[in-house]
Amino acid sequence: MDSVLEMKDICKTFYGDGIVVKANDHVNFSLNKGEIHAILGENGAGKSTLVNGLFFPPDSGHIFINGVEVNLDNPLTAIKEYKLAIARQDLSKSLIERHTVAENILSFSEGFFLSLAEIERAIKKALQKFNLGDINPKAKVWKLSGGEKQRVEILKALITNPSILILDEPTAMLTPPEIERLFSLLKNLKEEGKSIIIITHHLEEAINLSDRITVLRHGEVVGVLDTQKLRKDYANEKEAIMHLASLMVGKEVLYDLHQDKVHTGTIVVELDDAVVNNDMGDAVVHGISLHLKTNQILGLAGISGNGQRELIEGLFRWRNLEKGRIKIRGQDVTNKPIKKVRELGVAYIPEDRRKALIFDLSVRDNLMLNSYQNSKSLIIDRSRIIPETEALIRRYNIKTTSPLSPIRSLSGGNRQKVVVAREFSLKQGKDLILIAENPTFGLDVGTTQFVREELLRKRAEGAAILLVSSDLTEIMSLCDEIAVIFKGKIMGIISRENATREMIGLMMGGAHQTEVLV
Amino acid sequence: MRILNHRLFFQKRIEPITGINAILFRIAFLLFGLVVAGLIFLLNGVNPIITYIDMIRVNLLLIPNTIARFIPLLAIGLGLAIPFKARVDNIGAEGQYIIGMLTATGTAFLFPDLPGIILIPLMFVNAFILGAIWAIPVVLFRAKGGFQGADVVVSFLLVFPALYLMEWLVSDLWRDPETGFTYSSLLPENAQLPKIPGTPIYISIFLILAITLLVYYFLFRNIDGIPKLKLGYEINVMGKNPLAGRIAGMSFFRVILITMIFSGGMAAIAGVGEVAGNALRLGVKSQGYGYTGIAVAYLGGLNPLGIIVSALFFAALKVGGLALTGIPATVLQLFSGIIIFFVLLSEFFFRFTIKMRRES
Repeated sequence: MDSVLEMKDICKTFYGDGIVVKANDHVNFSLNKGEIHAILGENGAGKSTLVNGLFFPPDSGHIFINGVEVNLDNPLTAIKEYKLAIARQDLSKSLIERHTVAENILSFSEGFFLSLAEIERAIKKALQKFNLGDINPKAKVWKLSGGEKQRVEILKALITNPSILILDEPTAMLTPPEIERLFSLLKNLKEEGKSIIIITHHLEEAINLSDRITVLRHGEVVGVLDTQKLRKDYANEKEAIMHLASLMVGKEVLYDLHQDKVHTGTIVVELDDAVVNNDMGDAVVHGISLHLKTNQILGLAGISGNGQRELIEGLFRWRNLEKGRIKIRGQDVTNKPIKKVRELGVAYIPEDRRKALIFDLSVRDNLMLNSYQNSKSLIIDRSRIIPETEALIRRYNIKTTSPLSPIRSLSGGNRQKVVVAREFSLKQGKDLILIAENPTFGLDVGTTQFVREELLRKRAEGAAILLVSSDLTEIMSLCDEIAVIFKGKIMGIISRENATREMIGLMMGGAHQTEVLV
Repeated sequence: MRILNHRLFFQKRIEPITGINAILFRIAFLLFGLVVAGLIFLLNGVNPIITYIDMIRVNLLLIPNTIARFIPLLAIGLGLAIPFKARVDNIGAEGQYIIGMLTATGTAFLFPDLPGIILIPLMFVNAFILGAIWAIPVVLFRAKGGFQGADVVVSFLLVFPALYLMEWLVSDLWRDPETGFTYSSLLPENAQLPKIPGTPIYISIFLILAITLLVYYFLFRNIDGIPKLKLGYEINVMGKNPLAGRIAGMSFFRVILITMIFSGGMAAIAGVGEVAGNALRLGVKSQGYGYTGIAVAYLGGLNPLGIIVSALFFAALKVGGLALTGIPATVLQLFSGIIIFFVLLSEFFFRFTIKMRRES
């Protein structure tokens, strides 16, 4: 078969914050005509970097299109001359939120005179042709849901009629039926002779959709597999997936988490009928009620962008509740200052480390962020804090040259350990209420395992934990109860024993609990 | 920037420069500044080395005068260091300083009959309060408004009302009818600050030195990385990452309110000393100590002990200017401008370093 695209010896290194990351280390990649080629890898394996090399030149390497070496030094040549198109992963960067759908796509139109009306017509036609559902071209992008934005991004790529289509994690924000439709669309495009690259970290997607799979790990290619052959070699899909998974994560294997049986205790946090607005002033949480109990992990599952962030910020008093009330241990804390909420033992592990860590201050300064307030007077109790912070560093095995080194000098995993150490030690036993937002996001396997074990340990000690995660595996393996959020509403709360991945998946796509329980 | 096939770029430092290295680093930048300023002297036909030696000699002869100049610079520099540490850029110390002078004068003219032992403390207290009030809009706009740079804009703009208020008061209400120049009347004798006999050094030096040492002890001196007061820690956190501080339950508003009250108050106290200890009457022009104070605070590494040294340095520059006879006055201003520029430049290189990378 002739390859339409070949990338040889691609290297790309990122320098930032004192860290040198070899995102692509002599990567070779080829795409055949009329195939769907999946690029598989964990977060940070270098998948997006590789395809971005087609639009911005990599540090070194050669790129061939239809056998001819090309110099792709800016996105426009790639799009216009070589008929490449990409739907990017980070929608906040690739779509202009304040503009309408049509205005976002306008930049690809040809000709001197721009006609919005024409673009809008073209969009409507394309939406129908590609079966991407109904989106109003006049709608402002920030008003769209995550799934709609994703479809706009995909449409943006398709509308140029590319011969090579690249989709970077296209399913992250889509619901299962939408994913279904996208995949059948991709298969049709393949029939038409287009070549497609799809980046994913979902193993099932890769196996079910693609013709070939390139697996990346730490910026290097660890395998190029033929999907047909893969299916033949393994007795069933599950084993094939296991094989892919071990390629993807390497030798480090996730061992099973040990979850003690504990009796769920009393209610400590009552959130009733909460309505929260987003930054634009639109309600994105519509009357959610949640109860947190001691000795329990309540999972909040959902595709990101469905109001989780606003709900947490409302619960944590970072944002005002427009309606509804919050009671913690019987005390009404509706719209009370964060300090008050903190004093009642609410610990918080945000997804964004910048919300939790002061990179320029020392490990000790970061560890004492909560506990410095524990003395009555204006003076900090040094004699208490020094042994405390040193004990935390030992207990959580934080690798640092000294307690006085800045956080900036620590590795990503150790940075997160600092957050976990501090927040987990806010209160002991049943006094701790913990809100954890994707606490293992971007961590290596070892630290991920560590954080999950700590969560379970705290649960056994009596803490009430709310775990917000977009990782279904994490939710399924840790939680006692799972609440599913969709478009700012709770679709249902199921106990783990009764839950299956499929049920949760359907609810994440907007099905109500009553529809999925049989 | 590209040079041949190398690319130059700025990178944030991972390990901060601390201790003796930080001091050497600052001194190195000062030397750069002196060299560049020296080139300008050369262009004016003046030998910079002789000039610098002259400046040192003048200072050695006039040590008490240098110390008298040092008092307001220390007060303002110290007052600025605290909001700077909390990343509130109060560049309007000049305005707060002028308000201090006006308040002192006004208080003295209102109660000319009070005995000095009551009147002088009253002048200080009033000035501190009004100087702080002059700084409070900065807090409101910075903490409650949506605009991050509000502190810079508001604090700077507040200099001008203070300046014009002074012009009006001096040329109208408080004008001394006996001189032809626009000066206010002399302050009554019981409002004048006592001096160390035989020197121009007035007594507020003791007050300000005491405050400096107290601030150092309570807010800046870290033992095992921990300051004495909770406030000191909160200032550190707010200065580096206000978001994390607020999520931990700190009040951004409270922290910057305290820092700005202190800052405005200290600048105003400097103003009291200047009018009641040095000039003894108001003119329509201000000395610009408020602006120099910014460089004093940064050259001192935002640390009270360092600020003592840097305030002495800038005071010496000011007194040393007396040695620069035969040079246009603008060159003298250019000279201090260059020094201030290099001081602020060193702050940038404290946080960033230049790296070079080979590119294909």
